[in-house]
Amino acid sequence: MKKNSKEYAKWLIKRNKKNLRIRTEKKRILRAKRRNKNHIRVEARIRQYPKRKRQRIKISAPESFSIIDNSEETLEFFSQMLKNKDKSIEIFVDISKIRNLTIEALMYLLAIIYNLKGVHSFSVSGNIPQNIYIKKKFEQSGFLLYVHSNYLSYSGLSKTSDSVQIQSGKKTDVSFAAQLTDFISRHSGIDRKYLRFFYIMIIELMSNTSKHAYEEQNESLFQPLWYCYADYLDREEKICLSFLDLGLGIPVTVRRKWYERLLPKTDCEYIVSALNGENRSETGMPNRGKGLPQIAEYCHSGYIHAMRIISESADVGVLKDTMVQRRISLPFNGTLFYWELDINSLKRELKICCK
Amino acid sequence: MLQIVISKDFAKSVGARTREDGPYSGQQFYEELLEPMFLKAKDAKEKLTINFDGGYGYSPSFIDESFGHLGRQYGEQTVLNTLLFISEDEPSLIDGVKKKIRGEN
Repeated sequence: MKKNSKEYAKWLIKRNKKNLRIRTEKKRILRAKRRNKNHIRVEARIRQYPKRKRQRIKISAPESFSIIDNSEETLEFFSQMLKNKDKSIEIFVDISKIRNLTIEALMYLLAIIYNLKGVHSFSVSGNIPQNIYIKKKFEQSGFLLYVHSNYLSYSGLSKTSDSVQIQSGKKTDVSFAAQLTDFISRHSGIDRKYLRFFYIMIIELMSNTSKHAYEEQNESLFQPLWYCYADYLDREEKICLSFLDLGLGIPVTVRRKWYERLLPKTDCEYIVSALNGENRSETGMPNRGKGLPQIAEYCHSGYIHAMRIISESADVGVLKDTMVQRRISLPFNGTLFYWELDINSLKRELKICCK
Repeated sequence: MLQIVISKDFAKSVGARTREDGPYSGQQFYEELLEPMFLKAKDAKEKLTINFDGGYGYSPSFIDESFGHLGRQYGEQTVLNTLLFISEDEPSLIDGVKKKIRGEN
């Protein structure tokens, strides 16, 4: 066969196609062999690290689920949750049987869930209260906005409701502080310009959360967040507010005098000292440390009917003429402020009648 | 006459001390509005009026970081001679601001 002939060309095409088939077949066999080898490697990995099963435990909340009204049992409940924080564990929180609920307990529960989520596969699930009144309060708190929920009947609140849902933040949130002030103004009938004391108080507390409370961040259990909630009690003509600061707590962050290293005060005494303005600012600077004394002044002048501060092992109640101190056995991580504004006495103290 | 109405020219609801604390802080007010306007008024030998009305409130840390800082930077007498204050919503605020400018607690 001559090289330039048509027959030679046909033979060449036929031979090239055959070689292509052989090469393609060889590649296919090689790829299949490699795939089988990888498959074997993956199986060996799985066999080496079997899937871990998480332990599930159920913790029931006390009937009176409230840090304000029932601090001992409620803090015991939280300490049971926190005891398991370093374990790969699933906690089921049973709040179905509670008969009394105050929202600062829900805020603290939210703080635990949010801050420990993802740590050592710690996870939390739970149910909702069965009592109709408590269930409504639970829904209105806004707790369900912060968690994944299958609870289908939940719907958000309208702007005219009698509460400001749980809000959280890291820095000062001026629009939320303004919202709270407007809420009090709306329900009390007092013009906003007379409620500046309240706006200032909230701004100072939000600022404290991000500033003084977190110098030793590694020692704190929680991230530097604040939580806040407000409620209008129509029958009692009272507005109740809770502000939760998840820092190290006032007794830990206040500046100690030199002799207190030898003779330390109790946590209650440190809080009272800070409220009395005894130069307890952590920075030690002369133009600082006015926030807490100013808040105490609002109580003494009657603008705030009653205030409770719970921090570490201290529970301090501040009224117009007195301060009441109580030691709690289980430490509270952070600082909880609880205020009651009595509308009639607020109007009396502000010497105004209405908007 | 130069004037700053804080609720209109800066914010109705102001924040805390520094920019780290959050928006509309005393530091932000000082850097963006108060100091430039103060220097403008001082150079033109005019008065600068600060109007506090219409706002939600002014925390001590906000006042200290803005007006207190101005007093520490430029001298209390210079600042008090240049600034005029209006606060019909809260007349006692003016004394508080002047104390901060003077560096009193």
